[in-house]
Amino acid sequence: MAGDQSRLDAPKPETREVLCTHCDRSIDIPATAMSVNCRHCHRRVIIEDIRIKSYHAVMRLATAGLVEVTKRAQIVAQVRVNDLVVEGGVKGDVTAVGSISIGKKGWIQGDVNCRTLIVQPGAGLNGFYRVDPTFTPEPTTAEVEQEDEFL
Amino acid sequence: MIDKAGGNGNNFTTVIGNDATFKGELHFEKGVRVDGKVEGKITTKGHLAVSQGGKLQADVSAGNIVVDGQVVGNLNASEKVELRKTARLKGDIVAAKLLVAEGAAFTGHCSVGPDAGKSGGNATPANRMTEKEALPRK
Ligand SMILES: [Zn+2]
Repeated sequence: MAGDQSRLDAPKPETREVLCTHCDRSIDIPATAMSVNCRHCHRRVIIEDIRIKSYHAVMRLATAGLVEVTKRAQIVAQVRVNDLVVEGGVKGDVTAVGSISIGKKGWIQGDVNCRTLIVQPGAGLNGFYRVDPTFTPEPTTAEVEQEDEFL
Repeated sequence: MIDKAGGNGNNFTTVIGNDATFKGELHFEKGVRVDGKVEGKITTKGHLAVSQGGKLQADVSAGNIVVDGQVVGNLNASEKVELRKTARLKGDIVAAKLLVAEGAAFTGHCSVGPDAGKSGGNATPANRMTEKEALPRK
């Protein structure tokens, strides 16, 4: 019984709110989760932080966490993240719900949407930028409708 | 905030006061601070500052540009563009260096890097990369 009581008294797992990287709708997730399934579009959403240490070419790199591109590393991808730290290079369009920080030897070639941009002198930027402290991606149902076609 | 002495130790030989409105082309040899409104074009070899209440609807070519206010127009700096937290910019940036403070808003094409502006504003380190385009753009 004492064990049951302590279980009841145990603090509820902390949650935090993130935007699904596929449909851009808000989801509550356990604070320590590495990935979850979106309750709206039912697709897997990666939450964990990713560190890129070498050349990395993919169609799309998406996480509701942070992506760090280290010195001499390079991403070639469409990037959708919460926060981005670039010490190396990024080639592709970038959407960050939070901030993008570009180090003195970092560069981004592509269009960028974010809330906050921090650029160190020496960084290279080339593309169309939309830096807006109120920026929030438009929620979409396109993916859900697309998946429904296969049902 | 840009102080009366010009913030980063720059003395502005010209100040466009907050009750002034200019339309046309302005050329300066040294620093200029805009507290009022300017429409048209500004050229200076020195430092241009747009203070918090300042409004520019102009294309600017300068050595250094610091923005605390509102700008609609293209900024071309041979050295540095700095957007401070109250800055609002709609226009393109071509500069060797860019500093953007948290809270600043900016919409436009950006070409920043040591060689930006020297060869059509399109020679950032990114362009010097030699690997082939790996992916189709959306
Ligand atoms: Zn979703």
